Amino acid sequence: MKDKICFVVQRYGLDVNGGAELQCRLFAEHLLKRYDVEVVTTKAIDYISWKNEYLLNEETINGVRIKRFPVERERNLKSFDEINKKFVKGTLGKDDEKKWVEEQGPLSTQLIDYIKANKKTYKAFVFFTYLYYPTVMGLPEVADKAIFVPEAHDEPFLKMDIYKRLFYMPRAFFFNTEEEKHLVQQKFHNENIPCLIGGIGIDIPENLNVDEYKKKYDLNDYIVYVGRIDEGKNCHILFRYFEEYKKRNNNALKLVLVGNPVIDIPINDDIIPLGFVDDEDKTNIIAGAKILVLPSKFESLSMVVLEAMSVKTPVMVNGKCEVLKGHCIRSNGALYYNNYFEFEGQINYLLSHEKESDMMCENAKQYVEDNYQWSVVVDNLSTLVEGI
Amino acid sequence: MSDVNVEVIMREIRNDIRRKGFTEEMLSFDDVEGRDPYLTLDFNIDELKDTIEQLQENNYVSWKANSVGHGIKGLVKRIIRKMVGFVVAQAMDAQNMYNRNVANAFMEVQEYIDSQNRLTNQYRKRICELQDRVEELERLIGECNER
Repeated sequence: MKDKICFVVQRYGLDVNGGAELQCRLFAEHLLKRYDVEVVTTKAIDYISWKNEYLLNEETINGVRIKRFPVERERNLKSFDEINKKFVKGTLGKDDEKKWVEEQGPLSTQLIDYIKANKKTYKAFVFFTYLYYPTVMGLPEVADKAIFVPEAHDEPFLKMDIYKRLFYMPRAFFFNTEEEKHLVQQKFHNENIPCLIGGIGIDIPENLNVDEYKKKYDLNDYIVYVGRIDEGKNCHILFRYFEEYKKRNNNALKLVLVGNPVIDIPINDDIIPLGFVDDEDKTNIIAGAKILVLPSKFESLSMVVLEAMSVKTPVMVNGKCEVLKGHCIRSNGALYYNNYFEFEGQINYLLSHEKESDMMCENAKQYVEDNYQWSVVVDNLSTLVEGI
Repeated sequence: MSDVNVEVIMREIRNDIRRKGFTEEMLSFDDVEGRDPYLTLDFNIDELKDTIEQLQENNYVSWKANSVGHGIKGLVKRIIRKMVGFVVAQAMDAQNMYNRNVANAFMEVQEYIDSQNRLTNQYRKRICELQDRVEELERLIGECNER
């Protein structure tokens, strides 16, 4: 009989957007061959409101059993903003940090009670994302069985005492990248806790039909952004940069946006929002792009960058994000910009230096093949589980 | 891996931007990336060295450097240059003096950073040695306690 392991994550399901949540789902599905995997999560789909949208308490998705618990209080943006302002100003007391986490949500005491009551049922608990209530309140209950996938990036919240304690508790860490490991160990000096680098497996697609999808969406020369269209992802800066680029450069290049918008998208003939598209369409749109651009400053892995590398699409990322910059440097296959002029210079370089661009894409593909395979990821996570 | 170097390409692009003399004033918005209060600008010692090298090479500007050409136009220009020379030459000398001081100051800054880096490396090495010693002592204490 296989050992039972429990994944804990704030949202889970095929309708859920978000890198960490997708990573959790893929881990769970790939680990099924070795373990009896169950997922403990909430009934929310939207990470802003945490509104209960899933109706069933239990269901099975792609072979993984899921237990869903209701969110007891939707996020009140006004009260979250109030308490978050205190944090930004540096006036949030240590006693208020728990309240901040509750306001951050998704608040589900039933989920925590389940973890507490079922500690003996599972060989290990794998917690995803340090930021949210289920991890902050759940992990301490089963710390000696906890594997922590923090999805950490260098953001101010890591300064909070409540997180400082959290990062000393788990039995092991499963980091996405060397940069994340370095960040966590540098901030918390918890080198004594065992850790391995995980990341994700990227399945290199074989049957691409770029022309057909270009025709389907009426696309020609374009750069593409894929992901949530949100200020948190720095999309507002991408719009500003691209509009400026178009003013200063006379060419037919368009910016194609794939993903659900959370912020307003400028009304501009050169910016084409496609909304949410399925995986096959997404891969073909990425493969047909001149460049994939990721303006986000806070990424702990970025599957979309790895996907673009795997289909040999040139990649440009925000150099302020250490993880993304790390991908560029280690692969020797992508560029990172630090300001508008580098953004413009890099687009024009990639468009005009086909040979160099092709060589970078070859390097990038090799990097994905060498480092992001499911067999390696599953072996590493299993090693941590067996160590408990 | 193919024979291409991302860092070299980035440097080439940055040098191109520098050569073209692009500045934020040319944009229709503030380049907020560099102004984000949550972020500190990346420090790159190689870039600093490149910039200081350029500063050293280009800090002297000769006001007579440009050819004024021949013919009537050239003659007029030469006359104008002679007429304003006594004012411009003084201003340019003062500016060149200032430029030289700035370049020297940056050289000093670079020397200081290099010396601090050397010192930091020495401290790092010392910390590693001390950590090894602490571990060794902890091991010995552990053995004593077991006995």
